[in-house]
Amino acid sequence: MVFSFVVAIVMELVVKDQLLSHEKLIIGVLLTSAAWIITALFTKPTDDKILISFYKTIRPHPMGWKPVVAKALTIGAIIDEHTKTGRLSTEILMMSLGCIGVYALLFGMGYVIYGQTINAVLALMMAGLSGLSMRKLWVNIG
Amino acid sequence: MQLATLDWIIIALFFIITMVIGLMVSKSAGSSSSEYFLGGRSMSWWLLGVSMVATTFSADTPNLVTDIVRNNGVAGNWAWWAFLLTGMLTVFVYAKLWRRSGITTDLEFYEMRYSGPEARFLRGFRAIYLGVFFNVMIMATVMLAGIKIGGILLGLSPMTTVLTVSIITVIYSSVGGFKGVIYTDFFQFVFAMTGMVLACIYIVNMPEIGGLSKLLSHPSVVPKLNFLPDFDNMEVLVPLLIVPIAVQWWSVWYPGAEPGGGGYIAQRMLSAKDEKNAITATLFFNVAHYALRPWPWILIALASIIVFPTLESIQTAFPDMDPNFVKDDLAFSAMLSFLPVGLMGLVIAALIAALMSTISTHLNWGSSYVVNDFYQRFLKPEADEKELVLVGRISTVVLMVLAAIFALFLTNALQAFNILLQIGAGTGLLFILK
Repeated sequence: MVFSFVVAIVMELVVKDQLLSHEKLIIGVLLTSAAWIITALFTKPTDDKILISFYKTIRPHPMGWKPVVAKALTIGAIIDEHTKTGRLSTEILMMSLGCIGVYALLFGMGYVIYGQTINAVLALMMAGLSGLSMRKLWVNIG
Repeated sequence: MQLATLDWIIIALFFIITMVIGLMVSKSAGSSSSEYFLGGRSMSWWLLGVSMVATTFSADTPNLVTDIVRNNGVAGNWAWWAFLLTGMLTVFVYAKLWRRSGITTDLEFYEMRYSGPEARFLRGFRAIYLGVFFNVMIMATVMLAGIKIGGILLGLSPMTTVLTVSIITVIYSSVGGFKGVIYTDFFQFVFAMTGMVLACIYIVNMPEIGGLSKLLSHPSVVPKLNFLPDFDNMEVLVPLLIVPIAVQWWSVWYPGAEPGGGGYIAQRMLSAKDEKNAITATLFFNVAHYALRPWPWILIALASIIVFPTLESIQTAFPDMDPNFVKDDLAFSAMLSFLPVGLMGLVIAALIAALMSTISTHLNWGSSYVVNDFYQRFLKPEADEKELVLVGRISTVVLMVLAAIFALFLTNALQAFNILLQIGAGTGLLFILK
């Protein structure tokens, strides 16, 4: 946070107009990411107790949590039931459908205003289909 | 600008209804801190979803969209449309996890997930940095837009605008707590959108524009209509579409579109009655924010290209206007100058509604950090519920006072700056709608 603030100040005050704004953004993202990854590698890892209690309460998708899940299962802190949580692939699919649906609705309304009937019907149908598919998939993400 | 009596009546009615709603729901607010900051975790998706949309619609948002459309066309909006990807990730992956956590603020997450003094420090530091400093800065900037509108449309001094808006907002926010904010947000959003849609219909049909089909076939509007930037022109395509879609949405922290959800969006997910309501509220927010709300603003912006094709034409139409303020974003307010009696009052009240819903949310959100992540966590862990609510109310008032002072300081600094640059330039903002 502090680092990205410094990067932002340097970009505005030192680099100024020598780079385009999107180039500054990409450089800022790269530098800040490098800073937080290095910080993460050099600071003390979080206590297992905290991680296990976090996992038990939140039940995130097990991907990335395997060592914690394995340890928690061996010491009996959690049972198999706790590892069955929402399916990440379905969630990402729904995120994609949500984006397609909303963009289709946005442009569909735009086409209605522009008076382009065929495009409007196609875009609004796409929005409707995305909505219906999301409704069908909804039960799987609880 | 002289408003007719009818306009003033509409504006006064708007203030009265807002206060009544805020005070009506205030009964239960003081019973506990969970009630004061999360409405007792019993909120329905539609109230929460509308509140999220209301907060992200601030008084200066239409000016920003006008600026984008005039310079980069409709496709320029990809700079913020790209954040939909973050929004949908929050809806389907994170919303239920936030609700499941059972925490009061998103800052509490740090100590739930990480251990040691670093987590403790991060929570306390961010409580003050985000909840007080950053928050006061955002509110002051939002208030600055209010000062401009008050000056342009009502001829009010910055002090009068800041005092009126602050006093009314702080009363219903501090007394009514989260529920006061959420219910007034609902009324204010419906009011703000009605005002914008009616203003759009009137402007598109005024004689200078001649209706929708004439607007959309005007030679200077046609090149601005595309939804996507020109794919053959990489100089435009990269900054307008590729960087927002490929990099910006996951890497940039932007209030209201935090990757994974945070701030006042997280506060609303945490207050939902269950996980399903948290998901549906955030989904509704993303649909309304991205798909439904932008069109009236875009149409008014396109119409402004015909009436005011250049900055010089705005300056010519409003000769007393300080040239420092004549930028593309001013075209939106300039277009509103054509509205008739009655509709003018409604639209001004709509803009005040947008301003107040943003400020009230930021007050309750900032105060939740001060109470939950600083006062209770570091100063007085044994404080009872009554005391926490009292600290919440006091910090709400203090945040409002700080934001008001800062906003007035900003206008003065700006005025001082202008005086230095251009001695003798008038305070022309007041005359734009003469």
